Amino acid sequence: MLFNSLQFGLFFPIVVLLYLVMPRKMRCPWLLIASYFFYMGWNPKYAVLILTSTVITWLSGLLIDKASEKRKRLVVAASFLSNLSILFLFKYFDFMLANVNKVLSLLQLTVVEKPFDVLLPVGISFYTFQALSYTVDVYRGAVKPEKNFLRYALFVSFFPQLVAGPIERSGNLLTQIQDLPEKKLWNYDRVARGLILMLWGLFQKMVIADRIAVLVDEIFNNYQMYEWFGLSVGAVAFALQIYCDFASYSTIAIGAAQVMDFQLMENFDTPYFARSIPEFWRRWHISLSTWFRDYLYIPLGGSRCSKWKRYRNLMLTFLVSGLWHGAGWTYVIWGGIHGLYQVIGYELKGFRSWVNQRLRTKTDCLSYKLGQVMITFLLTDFAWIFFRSNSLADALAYIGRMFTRLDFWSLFNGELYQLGLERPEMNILFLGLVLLLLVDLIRYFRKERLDAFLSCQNLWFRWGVLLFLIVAVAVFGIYGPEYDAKQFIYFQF
Amino acid sequence: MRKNMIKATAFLLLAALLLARLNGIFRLKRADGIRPMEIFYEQEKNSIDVIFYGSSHVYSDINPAVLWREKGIASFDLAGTLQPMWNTYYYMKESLKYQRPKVMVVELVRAIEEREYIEEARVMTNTFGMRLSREKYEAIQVSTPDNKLAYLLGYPAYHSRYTELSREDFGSYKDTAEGEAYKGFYPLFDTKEFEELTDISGITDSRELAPKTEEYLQKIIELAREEEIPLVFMVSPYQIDITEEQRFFNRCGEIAKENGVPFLDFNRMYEELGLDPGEDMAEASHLNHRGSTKLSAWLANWLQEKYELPDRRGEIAYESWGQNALRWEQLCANQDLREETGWYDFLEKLTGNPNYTYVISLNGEYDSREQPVLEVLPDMGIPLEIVEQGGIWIHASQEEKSFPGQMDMQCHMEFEGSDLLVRRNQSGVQMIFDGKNYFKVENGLNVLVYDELNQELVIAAGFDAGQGYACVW
Repeated sequence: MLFNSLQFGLFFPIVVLLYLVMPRKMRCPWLLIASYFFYMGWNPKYAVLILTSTVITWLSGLLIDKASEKRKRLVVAASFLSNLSILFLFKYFDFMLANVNKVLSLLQLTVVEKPFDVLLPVGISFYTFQALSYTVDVYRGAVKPEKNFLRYALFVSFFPQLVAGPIERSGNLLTQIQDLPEKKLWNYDRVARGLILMLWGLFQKMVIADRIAVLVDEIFNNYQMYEWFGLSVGAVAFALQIYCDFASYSTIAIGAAQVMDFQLMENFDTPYFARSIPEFWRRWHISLSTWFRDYLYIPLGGSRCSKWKRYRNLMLTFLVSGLWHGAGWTYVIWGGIHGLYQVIGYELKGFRSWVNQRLRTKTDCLSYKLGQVMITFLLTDFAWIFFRSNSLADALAYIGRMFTRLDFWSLFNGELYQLGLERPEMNILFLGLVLLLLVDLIRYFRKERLDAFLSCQNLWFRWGVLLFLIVAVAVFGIYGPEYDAKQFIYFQF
Repeated sequence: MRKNMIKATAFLLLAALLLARLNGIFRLKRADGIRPMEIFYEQEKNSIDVIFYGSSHVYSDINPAVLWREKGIASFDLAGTLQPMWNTYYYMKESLKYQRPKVMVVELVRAIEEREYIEEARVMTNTFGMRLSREKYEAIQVSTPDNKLAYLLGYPAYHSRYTELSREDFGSYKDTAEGEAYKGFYPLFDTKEFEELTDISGITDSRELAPKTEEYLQKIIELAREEEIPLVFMVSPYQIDITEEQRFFNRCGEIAKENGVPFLDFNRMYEELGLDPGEDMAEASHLNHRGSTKLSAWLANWLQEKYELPDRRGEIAYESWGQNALRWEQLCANQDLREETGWYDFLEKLTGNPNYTYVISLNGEYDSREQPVLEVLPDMGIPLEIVEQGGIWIHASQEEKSFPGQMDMQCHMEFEGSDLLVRRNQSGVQMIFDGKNYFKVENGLNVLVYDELNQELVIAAGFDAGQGYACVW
């Protein structure tokens, strides 16, 4: 079930209330049952897959603990191979087959028929990576293997972060699960702050992301109908959509976990205020970036090697990261562009300093920093076009039109309100974005999340903001069956 | 801890109040299914003698006000648009928790329904009026394959109405002119002329009903049997090509016969009803206000005779039926006025009706000398000074105001939720009702009429002196 579904609105309070009053020993099994129930809401069959990954990685942890150094490596390899095979089968098999067939048809050979149909299980990339990190952590001796299967199973399936992160590490989440019976759960302030985060996440998702999605879908699916203005708006809108969509999920996950006294890691830290691409990646989907850093980039040699090797490592990491996001060339190219940005950034570092010196540019002032933020945003936004486009050809055509169909009349002809969202919807969106900007500015300058900021404000202000958010979500959130006034026009029968 | 609990409770209470208010604003207030059920709950317990169930062929064809006037029958139209049999069944079940009618009449035009589920909008209109109950839960279960929780709560389905809200969304239905005097009827005042009514006497064979429709028709029969309440089936006059539909209706007749339920097929009874194809149809499948009066009068007599229903006129508990009849008569008078184009008859109907507040303005070259308007006006109560000098005369139930001549003037009147501003200045006369100017002719007679009983603007018409006082709407 999704966080923004009515089902979750029933599920979460029931789970939490029972969790709070349950005997301490029952807490872990209860959360495990709840997590599997949550996951099976999509498709009960998926439970078999997550259980398989859980059993494999749990056993590998136990085996690594007892095996010799040489065997340890074998166990890690076996754990990776089996888990990645499952991931490959369910996520990448169709993609691979399509590419093989493309090559075969180029060579005028018979194409391979699809042997079976698979549905991509929700969250498989997230929990597989989480489970694999455990194998490596045990291998590295960073954590001790968990002997209790139920505890470990809860670590892999913990419902708040199960399907869209943050991708937790055993050092953080598993330790908290081990401490579960000792937790003092009744803490008003903590619960309230968790709920505030969930509310803010729902606002981001339901009021902003799902509304802006209408505009993004319209523009990206019909880009042939739009010129530079519409296409630029579409690209910026997608940057905001994916941020609100993704970050909101993490915010709700962190909030939901906090209600139950679990501290999950931060996943998004005002990424669009980043002043460089490397900084963007320190702020965007942090749990994944650090996963790739710790389990791929550094094992490849990281940056403590020759320049060219470092560039190779960067490119490899970002290409794999692209592929992790989706089985399609658009994602791979998106990852590749981010890798290239960084390689070019390093290469041009000296040149940039030289230009700044020659032009006597002040680098420690707001305008310079703002310029950096804007350039970084434009670069990431450009890459997002590949991420969102339906195919590589579409992405290239989109960009082509955006830079060649320059007609400034569209700035004045009210086109903004004809991009899929009617005027009132657009106005609601603008208001939502203003609020998002304010919350992110607070986060950036005061280093405070909304819950922390509100908890040190006066009660009337805090309640005012919260009631506003509740009303905004209740009224302007996109949810429920699609209401179409036109359906009612035929009044009589 | 205790302080925190109080704080949390206070906040949740505040949020709940706010959400409840939002629900009140956004909920659908449709007269084609939701409102009849909501107002049904407001009726005095066990006061209704006849309940008519079914689709629009109930709420536009059967008028409880006529049944009241004819025989003093206390009846109610508990129907919804395109209502399939399963929703009719649950409307019946729900209604029997509050009323114990002496007869239940089910209109069967929607027995033609062959779909398993109907459009989402109709699911809403046929379930959202019900209170949260087992019946509502079951009704939703059988009405829709998806979004069951959303329909049960209601709010998720209509929360996005923010772009189409109107003033009435901010009030309660009790604030409307009718309140509980509303008996579920939704009159159609349009007229579509037909040369003749379809002859279906040759269609005698029948066609099986869709399984779900038949299942619920049988349940309806069973329900009436269990409750020991007489049941009547009827089919309203239905003018479009009904060859196939009639076969379904014939099947309904067979089922009725098998179960000993009286079956009134009005498509075979046009002459008995006295329906006039040129006057009594609103469109091909519904009667207009005249046609519905004929059908309702026939039903009143038949029901009274067959079931010996009590005449409730004069009983204090039934006052609201009397009010409903008064309102209905006034609505008919309003319609009559709207259809009137001759200045004399118009003025006569206007000035003779005690429920009207009206504004008469004589302006410009208002005396054409071709018609005896000025001679007639004083007899209708319009002051002589207005007739002689021109000017504006306002007649309300409480007061009369006269503004003779061409001097600047301004008069503001407040009605239930509406404003009327009449003013005269350099730019001329303005008759502004709820922000819109209804002034029609520069030279002649301008009239604006408001019905105080039904709280509605009836008509604003002008009679142009330059064109022999021809009516301009």
